[in-house]
Amino acid sequence: MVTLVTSDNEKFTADKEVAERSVLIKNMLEDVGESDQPIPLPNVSSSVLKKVLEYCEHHRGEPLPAADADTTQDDTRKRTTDISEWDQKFITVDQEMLFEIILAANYLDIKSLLDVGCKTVANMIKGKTPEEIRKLFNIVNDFTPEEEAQIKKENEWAEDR
Amino acid sequence: MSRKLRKRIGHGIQAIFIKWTSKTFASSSAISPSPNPSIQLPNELIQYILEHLYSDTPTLLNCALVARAWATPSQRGIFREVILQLPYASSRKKTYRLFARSLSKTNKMLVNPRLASYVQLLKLYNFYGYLVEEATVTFLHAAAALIIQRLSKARVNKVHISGVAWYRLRISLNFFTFRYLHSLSWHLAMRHI
Repeated sequence: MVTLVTSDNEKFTADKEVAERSVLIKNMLEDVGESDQPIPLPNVSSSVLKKVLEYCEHHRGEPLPAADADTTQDDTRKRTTDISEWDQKFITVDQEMLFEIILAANYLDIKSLLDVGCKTVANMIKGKTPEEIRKLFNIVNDFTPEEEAQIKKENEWAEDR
Repeated sequence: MSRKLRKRIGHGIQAIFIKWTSKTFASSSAISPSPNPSIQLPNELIQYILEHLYSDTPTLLNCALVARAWATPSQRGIFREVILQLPYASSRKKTYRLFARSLSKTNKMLVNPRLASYVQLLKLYNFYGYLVEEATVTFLHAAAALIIQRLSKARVNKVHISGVAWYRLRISLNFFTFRYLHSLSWHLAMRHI
């Protein structure tokens, strides 16, 4: 068993096999060696870690992606926005939790969970106007009018094709 | 803004603006002036999300206009594939005119080295039609040769060509581009050599 301590000082115990779906935790355990020392996760709150462990528990035993699977830039891997049924149910949370899960998956280095979160956000973006997307992400439009016009002009190439 | 902000921070909202490990996070504003504050995702994650939309050009066109940090990853998706093909079995003059215009537009786009650098794959298909004049075929191949020339400078590494008269392309290509093309693991229908 592995003990994890969240940012709000809550302790979670999980099977080593479950916790090690996080590459970060796996590496930490390898560095530390056999030890009962709890692992501090100062970037993850208890409510988020609970969700993350639920995900890891469900997917325990599944093969992990190879460490260098994502580094080949020229690989035109086909990205789909399909999500399995269980994952879809799992990720049906409010937007704040969704973003927290994505940040935690990125920090903990759990690629499959990061993909589920990012696909979900990608699906939310589909068909939205720039203004709607800004609202969704709470982003300020920092383009000057000239920059915006320039991008529009460049993108004309793709419009009537 | 500052009074509102202080009030919000007073309610402990700042707790959700935890600084994550990413450096990019620091560049996006930590607290948004929007009345609906929520978590900001670092740019590297925005980019990762946009990569999931690479097959959805209409959405990418909107994403490119969201904010500066969104423009480059969106345009990488928009210009990733350059696919130029004449619709099959067309003999109408208008089709050729539109196709020629599309080639010219692509050539104009590729003059911009930044946009050219986003191209990962070039596909040229079916430059033959029926009952078309010699001059038109020559023009289409010359325009295609220019596109290949420009993309060879941008080091695009995937080129698919089929249904194109290779000898017509070859006369328009310079030696270096020709050698470059041979160094690629490209797919070429050799039928017309």
